[in-house]
Amino acid sequence: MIPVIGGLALNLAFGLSIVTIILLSFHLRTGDNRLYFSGQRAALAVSLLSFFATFVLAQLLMVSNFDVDYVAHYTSRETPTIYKITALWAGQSGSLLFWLFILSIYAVIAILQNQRSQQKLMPWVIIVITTVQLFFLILVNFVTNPFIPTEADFVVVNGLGLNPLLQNATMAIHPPMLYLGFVGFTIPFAFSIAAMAKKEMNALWMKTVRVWLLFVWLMLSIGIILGGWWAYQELGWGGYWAWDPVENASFMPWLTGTALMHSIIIQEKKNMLKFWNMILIIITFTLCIFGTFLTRSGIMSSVHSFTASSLGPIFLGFVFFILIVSFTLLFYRKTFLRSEKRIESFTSRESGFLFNNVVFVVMCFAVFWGTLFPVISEAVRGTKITVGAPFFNQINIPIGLVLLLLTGVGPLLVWRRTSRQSAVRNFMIPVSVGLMTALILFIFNMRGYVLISFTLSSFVLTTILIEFAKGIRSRMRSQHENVLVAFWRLMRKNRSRYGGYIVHVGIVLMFVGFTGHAFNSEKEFGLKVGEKEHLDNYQFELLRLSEEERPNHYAYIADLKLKDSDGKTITILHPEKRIYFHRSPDPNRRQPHSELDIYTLLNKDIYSIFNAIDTEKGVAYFKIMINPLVNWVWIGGYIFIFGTLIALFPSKKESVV
Amino acid sequence: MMASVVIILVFILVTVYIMQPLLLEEDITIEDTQNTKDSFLQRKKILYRQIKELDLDYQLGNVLEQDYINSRNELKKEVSDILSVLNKK
Repeated sequence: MIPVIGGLALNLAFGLSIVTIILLSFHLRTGDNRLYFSGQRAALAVSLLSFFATFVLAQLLMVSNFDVDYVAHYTSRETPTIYKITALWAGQSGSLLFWLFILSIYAVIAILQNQRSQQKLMPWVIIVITTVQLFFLILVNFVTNPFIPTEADFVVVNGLGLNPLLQNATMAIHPPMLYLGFVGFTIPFAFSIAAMAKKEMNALWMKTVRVWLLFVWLMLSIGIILGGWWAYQELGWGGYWAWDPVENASFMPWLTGTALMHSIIIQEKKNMLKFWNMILIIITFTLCIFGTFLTRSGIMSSVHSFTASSLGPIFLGFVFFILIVSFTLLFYRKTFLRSEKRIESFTSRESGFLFNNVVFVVMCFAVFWGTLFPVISEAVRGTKITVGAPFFNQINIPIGLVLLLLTGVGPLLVWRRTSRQSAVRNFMIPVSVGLMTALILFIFNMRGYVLISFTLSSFVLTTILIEFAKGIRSRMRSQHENVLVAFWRLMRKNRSRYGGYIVHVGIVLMFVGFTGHAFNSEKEFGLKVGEKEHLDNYQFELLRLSEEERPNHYAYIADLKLKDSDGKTITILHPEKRIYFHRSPDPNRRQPHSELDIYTLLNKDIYSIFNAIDTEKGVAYFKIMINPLVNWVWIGGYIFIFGTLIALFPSKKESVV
Repeated sequence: MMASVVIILVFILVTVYIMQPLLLEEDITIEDTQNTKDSFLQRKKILYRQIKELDLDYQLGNVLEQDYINSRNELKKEVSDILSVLNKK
């Protein structure tokens, strides 16, 4: 009965989403407010029914109701409770329902929060949000329904279980964060379409869009960072970013979203770049849908799997629908969006922001091209030409370094135009520090990208420090405050600006971490108990090999003693080789997995992977990696998140707004 | 059977909830929120914030003097327009 109710809730939500769009369209034609209120209620009902359907599926997963195909596919009786919940987004139909669930949360918040302050725009906002909901309702009702019963003429006593790679705490948080980011871009997109439709773009609109953008951008950023953390901790190849299509799918909207976060400042302060910002909002939202299409249509594995499933063409059709409707509206509103002011000088802060935007978009295009190239080559020439990490690194490392340079240059430029005198005054110290760093690194035999990256990092950090120092000094002079009070009040009263600078500090530290990759070293070897191996200045001794049967896997555990060059024991590492579904009578179902162990220092990670075991010879095979500076990627990530939170939370006075 | 009852009940409740505004004989008047006192107060606060940011930019040497004076005067004029509307309300 319960699966039937879940399915019917989705049916009803589908019907009501059409009703919502019809009611609000008639309201816009006739001006009858009864239709608006009725449409608004219908929109809320669509969201509530979507919540209900999601809770039903979550409940079915929790109680292991294997009568439902989705539950039988992604959980088993042995699956730990937490992963039964995370199985909600492990499969295709569940993840699309989860998309709808998050969009429904956002829809309710957006409707209730803005129903008074943005009354003129709300009918359009609701129409856009409901159209996106309708699209996902079509998918979960007619293409890939999560409530479809299991096709078996016997009682299914156990399910297949969740992929072991997904049985990880980070994986419990990473996808919801990505979804919160991906889905969230629907709201600023809806407000933008509404603003264009109604030709209404005031300060309140700007504030609403900016806050939403910042929030969803933060969620997407956290999702991406957690994805990298999960790959590093779980996949056992020692890296955090592989330019995989799924990773790229989240990175592309992040790039355009980041460009937007910068250019919207120009719109807010100078009333410029309105047209460009609209383009960025449309592209960012389209890339979110496109990213879901990339990960869900099967197109990346093969063009043929794309055409074999109806999901791919529907998704692609929706992407084109968004692009055609949005750009047509944009075309008709080009006069309304025309800026009254123009960028006057190449050396102004405005042009710095614009240049930063162009570089972000170029990077996005490079990632887009590299991601789709295998698909295009297969479609055109019949042969799939894979573009790997070397291509992406070759293109994106220089672009990334240009962005890093602009992070430092931007704050040094003056609004409207930078005079020669200001340029010399502002650039003198940061450029000197950068050049000093370059010289020292050159003496220490560093060259190429490593040299450029560290040089630029020092240049940008100096710029940011100077910005803080200037702000503090200014307050100390004008308000007669001491250093600490001046710093505290400067931050409190200008959260957006100084939160942004803290985000930049995080980015610089992440670049330092990325650059550390150039110094990585690794070694693969086999050891019997008591044997030793060396890598760099470290010694690895296999002390013991043990076995353990756990509820959902069988584990071989190595005790690997780590000693430094002085022979002093640092720690004992415990990498594991696990066999999931070890009780399955079908040997093909048994899934080996390496659970690694990492010894973390501030300046490096010692990363141990238990590759394989030969039980007859008693030999365990390991891969050891020494990854310098990698932790600065995560430290930078924390600082990045902290900075965004500072920028996001308004001061007490502003929260009244 | 039970499922059918639950579904019918939900359907009726949702229909009544949505239809209720349509059953009213007269159209509902929506207050013009763009011109309420609250709305003007909000806009005033946003403008105050922009003036403060402009002042900080000037103190940090990020804005040219003439540009600062012009922009500040524009923002102050907008604020005084809003204040005069607020005084009338």
